[in-house]
Amino acid sequence: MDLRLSLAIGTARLGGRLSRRLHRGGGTSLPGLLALRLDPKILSKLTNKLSDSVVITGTNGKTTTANMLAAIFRTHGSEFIHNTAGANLVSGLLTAMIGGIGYGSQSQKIGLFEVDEATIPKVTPQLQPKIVAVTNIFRDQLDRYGELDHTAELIKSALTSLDDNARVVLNSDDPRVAVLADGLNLRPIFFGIEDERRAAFHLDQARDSNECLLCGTALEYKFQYFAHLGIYTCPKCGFTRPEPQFKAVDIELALGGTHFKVITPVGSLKLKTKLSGLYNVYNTLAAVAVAIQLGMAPTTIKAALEEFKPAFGRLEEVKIGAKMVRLMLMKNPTGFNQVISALNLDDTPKNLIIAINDNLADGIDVSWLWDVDIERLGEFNFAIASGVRGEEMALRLKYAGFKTGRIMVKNNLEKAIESGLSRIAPGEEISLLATYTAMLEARKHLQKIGDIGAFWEGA
Amino acid sequence: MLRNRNETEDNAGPPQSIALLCGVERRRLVGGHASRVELRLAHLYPDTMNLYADRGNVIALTKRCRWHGIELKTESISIGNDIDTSQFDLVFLGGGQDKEQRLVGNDLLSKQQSLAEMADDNVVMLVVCGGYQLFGNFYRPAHGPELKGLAILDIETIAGNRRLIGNVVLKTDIMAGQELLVGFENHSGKTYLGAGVRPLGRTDVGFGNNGEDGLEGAVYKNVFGTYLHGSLLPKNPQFTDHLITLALKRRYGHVDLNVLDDSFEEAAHKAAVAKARSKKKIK
Repeated sequence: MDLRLSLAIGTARLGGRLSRRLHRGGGTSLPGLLALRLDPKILSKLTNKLSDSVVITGTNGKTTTANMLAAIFRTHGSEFIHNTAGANLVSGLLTAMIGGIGYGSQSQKIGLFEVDEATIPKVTPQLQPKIVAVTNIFRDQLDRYGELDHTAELIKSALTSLDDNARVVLNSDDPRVAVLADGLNLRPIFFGIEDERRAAFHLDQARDSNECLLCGTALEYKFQYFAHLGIYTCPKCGFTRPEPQFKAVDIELALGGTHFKVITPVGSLKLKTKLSGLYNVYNTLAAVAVAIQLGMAPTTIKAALEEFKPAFGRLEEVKIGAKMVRLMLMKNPTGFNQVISALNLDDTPKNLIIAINDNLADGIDVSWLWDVDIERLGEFNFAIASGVRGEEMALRLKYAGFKTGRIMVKNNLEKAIESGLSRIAPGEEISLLATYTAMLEARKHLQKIGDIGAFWEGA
Repeated sequence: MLRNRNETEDNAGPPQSIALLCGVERRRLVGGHASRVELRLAHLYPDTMNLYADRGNVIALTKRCRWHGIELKTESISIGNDIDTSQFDLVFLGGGQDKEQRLVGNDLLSKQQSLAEMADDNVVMLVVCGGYQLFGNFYRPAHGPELKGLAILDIETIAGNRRLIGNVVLKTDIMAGQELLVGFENHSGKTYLGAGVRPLGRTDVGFGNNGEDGLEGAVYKNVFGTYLHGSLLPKNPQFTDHLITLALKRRYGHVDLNVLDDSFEEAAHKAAVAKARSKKKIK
């Protein structure tokens, strides 16, 4: 019996209950912070109580991929603990562990963690995960991490601290992720898309890395799916897209869902998911690769993924009477460009609220808005720019060539939502695009007026 | 590329007929030509030096030129391309990661003579962040040899041991009508000014060149270097117009620009200043 640990867990749980009772939010990190204060070694102590753990990291798609795996675990009947709602710093991980692990000695639960790129080197040596999956590396919150190369280095340093029988699951279409396998002692598992029909004819501007990370020569692309993801090779040193063991082919996209086939080493899998966008095909591939590696049956995986609904703020739909608000989280140029692609899947004029905050969790530098291809946005009836930096968003829309008469600024998100709802008729919908903390705010308000669950109740 | 109904340009600036009455266009008409007034911009290394939304600056220059009745022709100059010194009225260079900066640095040195000639000939240049450092005398990294710069701006940059990150507000006296510039900085190099340049401004909020002397940016003739991105030009419209005016003056003589409806620009400027100053109080 470890008294310090028991005290830390007890206090943390009490803190979490208080935080919820006082409506201070979901208590998704406070308990972890408390526990860490009382027992600095708590992470490795709690890790010993798990059977195994899986870590998902990368810039985009962490939450969705982890939630897909949670759905698969649930269908399979595995017991697991999971940090939800993007609480992916040390405090969020600990909060999940404290909530899911008893005082007793050993549990048979799997730990399923999405981990922030800057946090992963700190937690990996203690967690010793069985599998680490890296979704992609994009330009995101450079103000926090410094620069892109640094983000890749952080992940690399985490991977080199893994023990010998761990596996890494990597995106072969992202050269910045694929190169992580270089010099690594572990045999990597790659996933990628092989469907030339899904190649972008429009190369968006948010292409972050287009030169070879081993020799600096410009990479040659056979084609690109979006941003810097595609089929590439280096003409000088021969660095080339690794052949993926898990591939998505025959992809059919629509706003309400995506149909495609996944070829795996244990046979192929036809999937009809409820998610839209090519980026969700990557998320699905990562989840399938991890699940197969853990020994889950393809039929279980298929059943879970076909029922899977979009997570927090990711194309989530909220009904307010006969009207609807569609939530779309975006936090970097690529995410925003993907949201625009999703909106452009049908050509009805949109009703938009775009909420931009510049808090720490959003990235305090709003420069990234100027890297988004806002010019590609389709027609809209109105665009309400909201959040702390609503004015910057409105300006970006103006400089993308949109009529200023259809753009307005309402910094207060609650008022922006009310104003938007008053402008649409029953049966119509609003697309609400928001950065992370703005999305939290939006959901909080929508909970009061519409049909939506609290975000900490799970995905 | 699809252009939809929203994407009309006429709303944002005055109609062409008004633009025609204003300084520039009239002068051209006197000469008997109805051709549009034109400026030419060299965008240096847009494919590699584009770290923090630098294209926002080019978007702002292009749009505001159009609203003033000027056609801005932009040419991308990449590694290996020569630069024709007589061709351009404006030059823009953004920032890049360290690795990209080294790549570009070597190529830039091969253009040293051309760019220095253009600077002395009053070509208007805006160089931001990494581009600003490369225009200086040298960059001294923590380890390894000094990297030679273009020496167009009399500045020196020394590697610092922490990143200077955050919102910046500057007080500047380089132009009439706008005394504040607002943007965002993110650099680890510390830059010091020599006798051959004057600062772009004094920091009201933020670190500026080095976090020590309260100065930000450097100005030599019509060359403006700064750490401010964000993007800088869209929400500092008077500065954008100042650059356009300098370029027009150089090519066409005296000019008066149109008065534009800058309510969106001013609102974004004010919001950014307010945000920067609120952080300052918390400290």
